[in-house]
Order: sequence, then C-alpha cells, then structure tokens
Amino acid sequence: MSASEPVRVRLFSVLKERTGQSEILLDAGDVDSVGAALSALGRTYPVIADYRRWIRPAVNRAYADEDTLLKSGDELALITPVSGG
Amino acid sequence: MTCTTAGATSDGDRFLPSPYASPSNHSLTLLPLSDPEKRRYGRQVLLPEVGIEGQERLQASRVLIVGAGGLGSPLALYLAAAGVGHISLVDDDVVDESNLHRQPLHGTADVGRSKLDSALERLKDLNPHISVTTHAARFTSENAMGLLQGHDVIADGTDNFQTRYLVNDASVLSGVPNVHASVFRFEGQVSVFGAPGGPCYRCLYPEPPPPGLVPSCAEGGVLGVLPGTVGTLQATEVLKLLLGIGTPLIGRLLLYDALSANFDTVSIQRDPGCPLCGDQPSIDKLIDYDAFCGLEAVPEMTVVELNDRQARDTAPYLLDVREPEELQLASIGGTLIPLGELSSRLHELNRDEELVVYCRTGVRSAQAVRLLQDHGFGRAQNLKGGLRAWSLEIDPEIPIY
Ligand SMILES: [Zn+2]
Repeated sequence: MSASEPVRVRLFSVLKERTGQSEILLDAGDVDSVGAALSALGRTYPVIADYRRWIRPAVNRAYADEDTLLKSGDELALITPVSGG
Repeated sequence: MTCTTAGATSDGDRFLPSPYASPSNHSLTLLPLSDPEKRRYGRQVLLPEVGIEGQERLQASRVLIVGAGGLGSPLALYLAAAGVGHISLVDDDVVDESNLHRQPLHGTADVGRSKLDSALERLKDLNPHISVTTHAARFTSENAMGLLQGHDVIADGTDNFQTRYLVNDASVLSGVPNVHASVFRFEGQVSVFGAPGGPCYRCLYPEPPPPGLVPSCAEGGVLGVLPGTVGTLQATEVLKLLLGIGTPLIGRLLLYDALSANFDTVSIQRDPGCPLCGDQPSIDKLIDYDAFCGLEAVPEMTVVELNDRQARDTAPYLLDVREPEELQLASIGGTLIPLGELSSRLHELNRDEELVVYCRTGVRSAQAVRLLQDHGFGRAQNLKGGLRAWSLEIDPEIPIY
C-alpha cells in the first residue's frame, strides 16, 4: 500500500464514450496540476488531447482550471458540453 | 403579496429572499383561483411552500420554452399541468416518427404535423386554464430578444450548440434567467444560468466545440426516457424560480448518469473574465450565430462524383469514421476508423493518397477532414451529405438511419 492515494479522474459524456473509461487513476506524484493531468491523459487517450480546449475540469466538485493544483486523493472530473435536447 | 390562507401561514421563509426574482413577475397582480382551478391544483396548493398564493403566482407567470422536442416535451407538459399561466413555445420542426420515442408531447397521429400544432392541442387538453402561445420559427439573433420579452424564465430545450449560446446570451442581456438542460446518450446536465450573481453558460463553457466534435442525438443516440428525466428536473427548476422556493441550481451544474444511476453536482462560479456576464463584457449584443459557427469549409466530393470515379476505376481511398455499431446498419465500404480513434490511428493511413471520408450525414467526416488536414493529409476530402446523400441520390438500397 502506498501512503499516497491516486488522483481519481472521472470522465463524462463524450470523453467517457470515446475513451471507454468512466474512471482513471493517476499517480499523484506524476501529476501536480490539472494541466499536467490532462497532458498525461492526452498521451494515453488522444481524444482527450483533441477535446482539451473544450473540457471543463472540476476538482473535488468545484470548478477548476488548468493551473489548479492536484494533490493525493483529489477527484478530477472532466466535463464537456453536450447539446442534445 | 399579503395573501394568506389556512395551511399557508406566512412563516417568513416560505419565499426565499430570492436574488433572482424576476422583475416582470413580482409586480403582477395575482388573480384569485376559480373553483375548477382550486380542484385541479388542490394537491399542489396543499404544499405550504406553494399554497394559494404560490399557485396564483404560477398562474401569473410567463415561461418561454425554446424547442418542443425531447426536453420541450416534459417541460411543456409539466409546466402546463402545474398551472404556469402563460407558456410560449418556439419551434420550427415537424413531428417525425423517430421523435416519438422521446417526445411524448406528440403522438403517432401527429407525424408530419407541425410540432407546435400538435403541442398546442395536447396542452390545451391537458390544461384549459392556461394560455399557450406558439411561434413557428427558429430562435435566431434577429427574433430572440423580441421572443424573450415579457417572460419570467426561459427554458432551453434546444438541440444544438448555436441556439444554446444564443439562448444564454439573450438571457444575460435581458436579465431573464435561463434554466438549462442538455442530454447525450445516457447523461444529462442541468443548471440555472443568467440569474443575478450567478454564472452563465459561457462562464462554464467559454466557446462552443466545433460542429462534429460532439455528436448530436441524431448521431450519438439517446435513451428515450433520458430527456424525460432531465426535462422534468429542468421543469422543477423553472417552478422553483417562479415560486421562489428551495435552492435553485444557480452556481451548480447537475450531472445525471442514467446507467450508473448517479447524480453529481459541481459548483461553478461567475467568471469575472466572462465576455458576456463578466466585469468587462465584450459581448453587448446578440452574435450572428451563422458567422459565429462559420467554419473554414473543407474540400468536398459529391456522391455523384464518387460514384463516377468508382465506375471509372479511379476510386479514391474511402474512410468511414462512424462507430462500429453503425456499420451493421448501412455501409458503402471503405476502412472503418471511428472519429474518436482517428488521431491515434493516423499511421494506418497514407498522407499522399487521395482520401474521401464519410459518415452518416457528413458532419463527423468534416471534422475528420479538418483533423487530417492538421496532420498533413493534404488530399483528404469530405463526402458531402454522407451516406444519407448516397442513399437519396445513388443507391436507395442503402438504408437511411
Ligand atoms: Zn458568464
């Protein structure tokens, strides 16, 4: 057991569909900010790189931006707009 | 308002001191309920949070619903049933058979009719005590402010980003709160934008994604009941605003996932740098959305041209960017690489070859062509109108889905 909890990334709507993942765990030591997490995710899932500009990140259920710092145990939600009605 | 009744004593916090109370509503003279209205709304009036006064308040309220489709159906049905006195509906569509699984405002006999005619008939039957005004038009930058005038709340039941940004902008510029909802496959988002002090849609999503990046219901599919669930949440928020009760979704985005049966709320704030509702706004009038969403055109090939080229044995390389499930429904061949996988599978394609990309209607394939161009595929073209055009103009054996 690591003393450090991972950063729990939750994916919604299009990102969930296109990556096939609803949740991804990242090592908190590797990603110290939302921007770093998006870059790391974008390398594994190019769709996240494609959508990056339109992703609204939220850390621990509060609106965040790419500079927002991440720490062990944080939850990072990646939300994209949907248009259906 | 001083009306008090048994069961609805003025305990001081029945109506929240609502910062979003709309100026056009609270000054209205409330008319007493008739006996049939008292019978009809009895169970709702019994709620101390509503009471006779709340019901009269609903009766005096005016709500503009944009879109009479998946979200517009529960919105219109439940707001009419609840006794919202004036409902205005904007839509320019006709009832299609493929609407019925998620739009119970319309029935099988209505297929081919204007959605507004069908809606008007249904709502009049549902509640003859209210008035319904219909506007057979698209909601555009030209008519938006006029349509919004005199309403207490606007409810966004549209199905495309252009109109959603337009609804938001008109809401902020006119000061009428916008109860927003949108759906995708099994998920929905709900919030209240444009209330004083609260964020707007642009604070959350500063700019719309380019067409094709996010599939529409027509392309991505949607579970029929989903806009029902999400649209009734949206109708609930409308009623809360009109009644001034509870904690509205101002500054919160509600996310619903039907598959996991999860509700999440994310807090959002007004962005002081927002171009619309920020401290120094740069948008002071409605944007012409055709220009706003105008994209640099991508090179296209028509289905007739492709058919000729295939007949002359000079067919270009064909790339299908739809989802694997769609392949079962219809296909004209080619290599399948779903749009979402394209950027990671570019190595499977030849940059020097002439490429024609297709999807169901040409929307996703246009996005794919843009992506290919950005990666040095100079000879990529979009099949104009997609499979649909192929079916209509070349081969009716290819089903339209
Ligand atoms: Zn804003």
